[in-house]
Amino acid sequence: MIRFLFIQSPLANISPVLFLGTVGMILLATALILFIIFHQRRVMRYQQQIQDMESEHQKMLLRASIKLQEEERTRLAADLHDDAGPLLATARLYLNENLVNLDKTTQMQNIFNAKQIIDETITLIRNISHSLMPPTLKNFGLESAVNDFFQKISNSGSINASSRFNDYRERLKPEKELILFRVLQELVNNILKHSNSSFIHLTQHEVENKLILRIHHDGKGLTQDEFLRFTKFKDGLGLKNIQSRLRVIHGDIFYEEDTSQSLFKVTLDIPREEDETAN
Amino acid sequence: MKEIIQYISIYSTFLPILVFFVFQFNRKQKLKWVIFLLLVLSVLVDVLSLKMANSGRNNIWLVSIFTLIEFSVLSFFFSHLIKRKRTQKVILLVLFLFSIFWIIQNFFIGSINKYDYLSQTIEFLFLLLYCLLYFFEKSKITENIFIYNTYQFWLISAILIYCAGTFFSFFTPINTSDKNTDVVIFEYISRFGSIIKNILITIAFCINPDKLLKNQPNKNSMYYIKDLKV
Repeated sequence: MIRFLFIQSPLANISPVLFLGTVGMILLATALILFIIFHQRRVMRYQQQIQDMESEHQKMLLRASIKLQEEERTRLAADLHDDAGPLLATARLYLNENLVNLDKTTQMQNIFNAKQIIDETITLIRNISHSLMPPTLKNFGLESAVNDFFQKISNSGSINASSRFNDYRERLKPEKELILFRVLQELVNNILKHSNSSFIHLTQHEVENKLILRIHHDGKGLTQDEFLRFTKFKDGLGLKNIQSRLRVIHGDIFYEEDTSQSLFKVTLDIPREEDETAN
Repeated sequence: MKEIIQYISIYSTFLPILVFFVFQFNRKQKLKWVIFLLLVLSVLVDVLSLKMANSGRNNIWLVSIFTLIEFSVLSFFFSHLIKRKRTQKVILLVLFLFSIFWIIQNFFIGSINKYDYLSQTIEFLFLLLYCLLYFFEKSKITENIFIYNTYQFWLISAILIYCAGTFFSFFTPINTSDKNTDVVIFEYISRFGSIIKNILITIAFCINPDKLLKNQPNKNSMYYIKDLKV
């Protein structure tokens, strides 16, 4: 790399062009190296910021998920303590130690009452169990569970609710169906609570190995920007929960407003895994 | 003073060679080996050409041959360092064309015993271009490691500073008739450039990529650095 030549002469012979050119080139090279270093540092800082934001968002979703779980447990504990507990305590009173000392008719009456209370408790526990895992979903899949859910809403008479599955030939994995069902429940619940709409309609179809579920309603709805803004707030637990559930199944959600028909649409985009493909 | 600079520049070449022997961490780092072998060769050429110059013999043919070898080795170096396939092919094509040009220039148009400024200008022009391409490529990739923690960065910086520092000196001899004076100007610039280059290469050889490898993230991560071991 070094080129030493045999001729020698004084340094004073260096021409200004050569001197300025060389100094200029060295300055340019140094500036380039410094630019690369600072540019990379800036990019890395920016990446770090994005990572921190992502991590903060994940924490927020996790907190929302934990809070929801705690609320669910509290509700379950309250149901068991306030409903099942007193019922079983009453049944126990009917079946106390004195029962053997009572006359036959009273004994029969007490046993009948206790049996009635125990039946009531069984129904109560079944209801609690069904709220945790709907039997229709477990036995017949998402399509039946969603149709059943919409049918119940419609039967209440307060809103016109309908659902139509066009192309649900292969079921998703049970855990995925449960997550999706919970998301749909939360979405419909939000619509019932906040939208003041007169109808809800759900449609399903498949596009390129993706399950698409779309809910239309004619009330007040959200746009995607509003949804993203709400999920960043400390409240908006339900929306955060929807987001964290969808993240588990790698799904996406899109809120949009159809201005031409004064409708709001919510679209769920769920990719199918290889072992759940419909084709 | 002149002799001091001359000897510092020659002995400064031994610094990276020595450091390479002491801190040679990973024998799989073939790019470090390429630069190391080039340094050894340049020392041999320097010592030989200095002896020839002192004894009044023409050493220009040695320098001319070294130019071709140097460009070939550095082209190999850059073709491994720059990841874009098309650029790699272009680098090899440029090397092929340069070799043809060098043969024509030294054996048909001119003589190998006359200093070939044109070949050296073209060589350094392409080396500068390759350095820019490398930095351009690096500026587009996101990594979780500071660029100055990689030995490749210091090697490229060494080449860039050396080429930038000596590049302009090639123009003067071509445009003037007084070759003797201008050739000597080149000598000083070349020696200073050489000292800086050797310091930067020494820094590159001091960097241990094994430590960086330990801190590498998962292979699937966007921050995984594929060419850390090269």
